[in-house]
Amino acid sequence: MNNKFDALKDDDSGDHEQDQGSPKDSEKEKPEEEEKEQIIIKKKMVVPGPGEHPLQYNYTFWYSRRTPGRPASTQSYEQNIKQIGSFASVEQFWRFYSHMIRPGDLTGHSDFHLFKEGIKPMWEDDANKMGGKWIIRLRKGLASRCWENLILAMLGEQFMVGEEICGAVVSVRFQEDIISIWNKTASDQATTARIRDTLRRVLNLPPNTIMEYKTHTDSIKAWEDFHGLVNASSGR
Amino acid sequence: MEASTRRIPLKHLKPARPLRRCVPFVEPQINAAAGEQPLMEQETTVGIDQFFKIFNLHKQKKDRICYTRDFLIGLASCPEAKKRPEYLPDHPVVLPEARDPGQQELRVTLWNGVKEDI
Repeated sequence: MNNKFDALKDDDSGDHEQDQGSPKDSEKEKPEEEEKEQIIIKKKMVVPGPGEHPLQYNYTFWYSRRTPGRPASTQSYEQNIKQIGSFASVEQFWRFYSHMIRPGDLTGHSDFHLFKEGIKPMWEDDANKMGGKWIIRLRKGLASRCWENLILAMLGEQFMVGEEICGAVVSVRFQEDIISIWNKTASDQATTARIRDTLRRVLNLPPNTIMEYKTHTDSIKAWEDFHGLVNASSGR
Repeated sequence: MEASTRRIPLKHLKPARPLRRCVPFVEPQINAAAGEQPLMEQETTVGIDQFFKIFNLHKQKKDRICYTRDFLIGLASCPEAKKRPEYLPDHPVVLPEARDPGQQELRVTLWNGVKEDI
């Protein structure tokens, strides 16, 4: 019922002639809202199409880009991150993937995220808060290829660590690109070791590639320390 | 923590598999033993039902939907995979048309070329 009020208020500010409140208008408004709601519901319930190859989990593509200059707060991170879409089958994955720019063609400080549906690509999400990630730094030119291999391994359940995988990220930065894979339990060393070994195998990395495991609690701490410093120095 | 992570080789994980496979065979026996009731027939049918229930549960857990990279890549060129998704936001990273899968082949050779440099 609140929605109706809001809708009427908006009409008031826009058009005085509708002020007299003909009930038709509010009736008109309703189906539209319902339609919108239905679209949202449809978006949430992705299922494999007939004859398509189902995936073990549904996944969601996200994209984020940092607005240059402004030090980001957690809130603005959440605002900057945009959902591209969710999929439940191999065919649906390719539909999204083929309609998206390759990470190697992205410019500026931006990221693609591919997470299991329902898990936000944020440290604070319930699935992530006890977790961590393997990080691989890549020199420019390798990101598109490595990202593809990484997400194909994730979608194809090649990591064999049960429910542990949360999602994957490719981060385009100034002089390098970074790919990472997030898991639920940072303290589970058997899992993190298995993820590392699978990464080595599926990414076909040179043996001297440095792989780093970082817990999200450490990431949060580092982030807070960094922004604490930024604030202190800007307060001069 | 770093040192201990390095010390666990993948091999140590392998013995866990046969153990998990044994579980469905053990549990129904426990259930059957716990229910020492006079009606033998009933007891056995329940036991079998439970056995299959538990067995199927474990089967479901074990039967993950796995795909190899080559299989997934193979599906990329089917017409279903090139359709535009029904809901696609208007966004700078979203392309108006699907990328050409032929581009992927090109990338393989490019990347292999790069790899030799490393």
